[in-house]
Amino acid sequence: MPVRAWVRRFPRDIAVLPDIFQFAHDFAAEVGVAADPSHDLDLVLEELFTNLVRHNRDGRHDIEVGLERGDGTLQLTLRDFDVAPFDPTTVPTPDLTLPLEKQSKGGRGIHLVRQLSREFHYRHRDGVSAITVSLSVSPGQER
Amino acid sequence: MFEIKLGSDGKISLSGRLDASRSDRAFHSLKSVSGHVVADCTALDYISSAGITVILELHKRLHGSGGSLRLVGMNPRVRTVFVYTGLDKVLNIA
Repeated sequence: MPVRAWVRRFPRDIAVLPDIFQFAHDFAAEVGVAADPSHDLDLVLEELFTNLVRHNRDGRHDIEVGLERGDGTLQLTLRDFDVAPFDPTTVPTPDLTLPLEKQSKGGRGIHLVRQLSREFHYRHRDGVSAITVSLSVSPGQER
Repeated sequence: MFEIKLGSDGKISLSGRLDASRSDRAFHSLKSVSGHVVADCTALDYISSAGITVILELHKRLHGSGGSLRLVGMNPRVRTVFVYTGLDKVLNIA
């Protein structure tokens, strides 16, 4: 299968999430991915995009969203330009065994990303944060 | 799109996509809900951690005032989000 990739930049504003979802749905339809992995793609995109917007409040540039269809995978990469390092892969896993009132409010989103992803990497180089996540797409989830 | 319909008998229905761009509005819309509440999630297509926070805040507020929250009709994808975050063991999900 040939590798297909789309890249687009979005304003660092939570309000653009519907536009990001539309971009991801159009991509999933283009590369023949069914609803379940497309749902996971939305979830991972939302959690990582909102994480960048909230943690890199000094960021001034649009955030780049890249999607790539590999053999049995969907890979997404978010790039945030001219920002300090913030590595989401090191966010502690919340203790889900604690009573609700003692659980931390933070960390659930990144925990979801870990649960859904096959690979989850972070790199910071020359002021650019890059988060890469790989999702599995089984043959039954292709259309 | 995300929509909340408030019934007069303790029933509410959630439909569409409860994501971070809609969670503030959802939180405010649910402020008027009280007592023993059944939330029909049959038409809820998507929920993220931001949406889960809205549900958790509603659950805490209702329980804190002697009420309760029961979630019914979740589709498997939405339920998975609650399972992955361990909240299926904390919330009343039918």
